[in-house]
Amino acid sequence: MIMATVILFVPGITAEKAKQSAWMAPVLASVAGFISLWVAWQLGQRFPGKTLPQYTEILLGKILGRILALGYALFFLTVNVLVIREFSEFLTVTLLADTPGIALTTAIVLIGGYAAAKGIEVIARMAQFVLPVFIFTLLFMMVLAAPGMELGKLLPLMEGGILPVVWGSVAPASWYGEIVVLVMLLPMVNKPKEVRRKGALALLAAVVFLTLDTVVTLAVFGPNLTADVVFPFWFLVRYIEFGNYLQRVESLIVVLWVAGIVVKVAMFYYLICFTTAQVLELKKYKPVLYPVALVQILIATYLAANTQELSEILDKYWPPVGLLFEVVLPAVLLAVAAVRRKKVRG
Amino acid sequence: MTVKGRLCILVLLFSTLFLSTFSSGCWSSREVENMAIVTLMGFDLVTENGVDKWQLSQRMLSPADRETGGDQSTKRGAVEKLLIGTGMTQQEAIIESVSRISRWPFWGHLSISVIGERAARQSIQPFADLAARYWEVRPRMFVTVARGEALKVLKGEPEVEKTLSKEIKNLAEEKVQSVGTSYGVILSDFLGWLTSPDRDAVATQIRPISPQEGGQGKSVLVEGLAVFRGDKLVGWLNKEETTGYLLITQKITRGKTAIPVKVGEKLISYFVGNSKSKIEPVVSGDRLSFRVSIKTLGEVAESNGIELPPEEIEQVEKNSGETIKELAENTIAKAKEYNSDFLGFTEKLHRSNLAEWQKLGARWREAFSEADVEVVVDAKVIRTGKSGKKLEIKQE
Repeated sequence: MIMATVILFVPGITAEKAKQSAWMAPVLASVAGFISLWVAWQLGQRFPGKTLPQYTEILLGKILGRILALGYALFFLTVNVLVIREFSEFLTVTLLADTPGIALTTAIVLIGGYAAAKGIEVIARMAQFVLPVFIFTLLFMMVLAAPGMELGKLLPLMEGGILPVVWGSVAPASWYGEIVVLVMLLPMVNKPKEVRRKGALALLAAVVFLTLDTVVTLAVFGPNLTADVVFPFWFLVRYIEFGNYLQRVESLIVVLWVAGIVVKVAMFYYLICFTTAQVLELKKYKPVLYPVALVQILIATYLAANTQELSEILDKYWPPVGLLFEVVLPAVLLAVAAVRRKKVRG
Repeated sequence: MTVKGRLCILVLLFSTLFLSTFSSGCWSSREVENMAIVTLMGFDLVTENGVDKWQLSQRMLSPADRETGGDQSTKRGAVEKLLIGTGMTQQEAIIESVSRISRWPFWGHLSISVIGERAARQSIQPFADLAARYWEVRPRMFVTVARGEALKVLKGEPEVEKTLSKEIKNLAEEKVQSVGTSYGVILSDFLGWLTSPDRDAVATQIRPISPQEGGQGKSVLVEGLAVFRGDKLVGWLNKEETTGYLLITQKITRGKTAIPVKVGEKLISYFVGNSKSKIEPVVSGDRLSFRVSIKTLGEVAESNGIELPPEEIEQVEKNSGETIKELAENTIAKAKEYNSDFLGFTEKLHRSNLAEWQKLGARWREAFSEADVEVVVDAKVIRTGKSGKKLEIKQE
């Protein structure tokens, strides 16, 4: 899920700072993901069957609790808006140059909204179907690109020390942190006991794939070119060519990538509406769907004037905000819970 | 089935039919019939009335010929249309070049770009930027530099293929490299070299020629390399120097490079099939030097009457090694002369000895030019063709 968007951007963003050692950044960044998974899991253990808006109220009182929960609703909204915008940006830059971005955002919001209206189970089943195909295709692409690799391009290791790698890993860290959605989803999982193990496995898989993705891209194009290209993985897939019989395979990637994005958008869309409904104590979350759709389309369209602005938002402004909601706030909540010894028996 | 159900199906059916008939696709829809497929593109700087302008020439598949199909042999060479445009920017020139054409050009099949000598000498930046930015351009496009004007290359005609682009593409992809006369440089490698802090770029050299066999029309020759220092073209490598370049930098497999070797009084030919090379930077005290080891496997397919017992083969191997060493050293001398590290020596230093590389700073090119390079060649003969030691032909 996390991988869907990141796979395209990560080599570029990390390579800009960490150059040929960029492949280490995804590994380092995953620390944030594991922390946020652990915190979400601990919170879930303390408040079984309850979601975040419910236990923030227990922990922080009615007003503060609701404000925080609303903050999370806004956080999910921002994530989704960014994802939607990336989606339309990518398509307009690479394929559909003449299509206005708003047409694409509207399309994906409508599809995501439809899935969100059908509930979490539909989204989960969708993910179940898309993920294996997605992963298989990625692997296939990497194998195909492998003959062009020159591992020497990854040398020298850690030029300029560890710091560039750390800075390079900040942006991907905020992507891994998205596993924090578990604070909302945990009560809905059939076998909550397995979540910790499965969540860790999922993160690990994401780390492996992002690292592979970065290694392959760097080894084919070298660190300098990778840093200059907006969508390095896209560039890599277009690079694949074996004579006349295997070339222009990028359409395959687009189809699957779009499928992955749809799952992600649907999921966050659902979370926005569900969280808002809980905060406002609505019986159903469906009435929230419509205004949110409009809000998403409008913000996604007018958020950034051009690709460069979007990159800057993703690169500079988003990571601190993301990490605040993904790691810091849940950790604070957990600390409060521990100090005040609040627990609910399941 | 209920009435409502039937109605529902009917409505669906009609809407499907309606939509597929009247919606011709969205904003970005493009039909093949409306595309002019560009296969070759030339970039020139020209002076028009005292103003420097871009002159872009494009070869595009001519639709009329594609549609007639079948008997194309009569129209050989006319399948690709040549269009020329000038403008203050490259984009403007492109637009002008297609002003007579009713279709919009499509660059997804652009396989070769030809940069004019003058444009390349001024700066490669405008071309590189356009190629990296424009979304339809593919990373495997070949980057070639023309001796003289690019337009003259684009005016050339194919020898055996139907189109000029196909001819050049096939040459650049495999053939020129295996015979050791040139090397097809692709865009992603080229951009990688240009952006790297420790290596200079080369591009494939291409030039128009009139075939010595006579006949009408002009042909195109892909031979040698164009050498860059930073963003500027600084010189050329001829085909022997290119062979040296390939032996130093590339891993050759399936090669067909014939190297003339002197054994005694006679010249025989050593046919390189495989080669591997390794560049090692050596730092001793303040002195930087490089050691290049080349290993080749080849065969003798032309012995010119020299007897080839095992002892003699050793001699052949030794002499071949020396000849290859000479080739490599010539190329290195040329690199030093151009003050351009296109062989990737400094790159190797950067990768293996970070501290030393950082010490060099901005004067890495000078450091390379001053460094001693030792070339060690190990040439092996693994086959001697299908005749025995010597083909006995009676002397008169």
